[in-house]
Amino acid sequence: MAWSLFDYAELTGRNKIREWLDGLADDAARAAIDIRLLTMAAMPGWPEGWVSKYRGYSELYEFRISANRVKYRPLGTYFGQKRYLILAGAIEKGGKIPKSDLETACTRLEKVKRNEGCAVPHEFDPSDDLEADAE
Amino acid sequence: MRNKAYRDGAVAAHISNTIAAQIAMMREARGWTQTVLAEKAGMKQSRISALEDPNFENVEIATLRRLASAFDVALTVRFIPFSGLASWTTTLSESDLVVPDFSQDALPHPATAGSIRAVGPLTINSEIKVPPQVSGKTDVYTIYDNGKLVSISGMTGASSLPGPNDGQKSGPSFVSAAAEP
Repeated sequence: MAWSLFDYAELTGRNKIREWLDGLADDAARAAIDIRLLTMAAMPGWPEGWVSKYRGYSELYEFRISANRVKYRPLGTYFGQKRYLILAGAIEKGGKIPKSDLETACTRLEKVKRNEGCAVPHEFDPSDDLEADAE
Repeated sequence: MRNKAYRDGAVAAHISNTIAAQIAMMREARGWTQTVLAEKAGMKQSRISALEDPNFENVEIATLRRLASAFDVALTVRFIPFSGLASWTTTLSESDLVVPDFSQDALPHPATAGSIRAVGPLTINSEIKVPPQVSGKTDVYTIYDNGKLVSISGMTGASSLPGPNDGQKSGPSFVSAAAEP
């Protein structure tokens, strides 16, 4: 993997990105996000269209993933050399990401800046364990 | 992948993501703009832009054949078990995505043994066939390992073994390789 992906987690250990993914009703969407993350992790760089800087927020970026006509927009930021931190899950509606999701991402980013223990390696759902299925 | 909807979603996402990534990365590796690739493939630049969008799902095989010809690479479309898809996605590396054109390809031919170094996280325990020996030459070999395409960068060493054009019968020989951690 060229890139290391990280999730935002509370210091209690609760992985908030895993919780967002687990809460998605559409299993095909979870697959689309998993495959996107695995593909991006292998790419040396990410072209426009795969990740976009979110206008008006200096440090926030969005992954642009569509599944069954729903626009999933995990929000995150670059987190060192070939490291990317996913801060919050979001779904675009009416061409915009809900402001509450953007504020959540910003708040979490500040927490990570104060304590990098809030950034943990991204985990894929054990029930969709791709590595086990590959054996 | 025990959930049917998840499996179907993974298939759709795998196709659109892999195609988009490969077109963009192979194009950039060749130093081509989207316009240059469009001219070579006989299509519009806007079409290339759409194909490089990982959310674009209406990919036609005829279009892929034209792009394969423009890149001078092979194209396979086949049904595989989900274990194969899982293996591809979990061991994916840059070398899987950027395919060399025919002039840089290493076609199978009678080989001599050399030392090779695998690139990526894979451990290869099976025996593989390597191209003819050329002292000091670094090359990229495309091989199959347990049914999965694996690209390997090899640094061959000096050899006194006969090559394919030495007028001697030279059957294939094999070496084992292990990936670097």
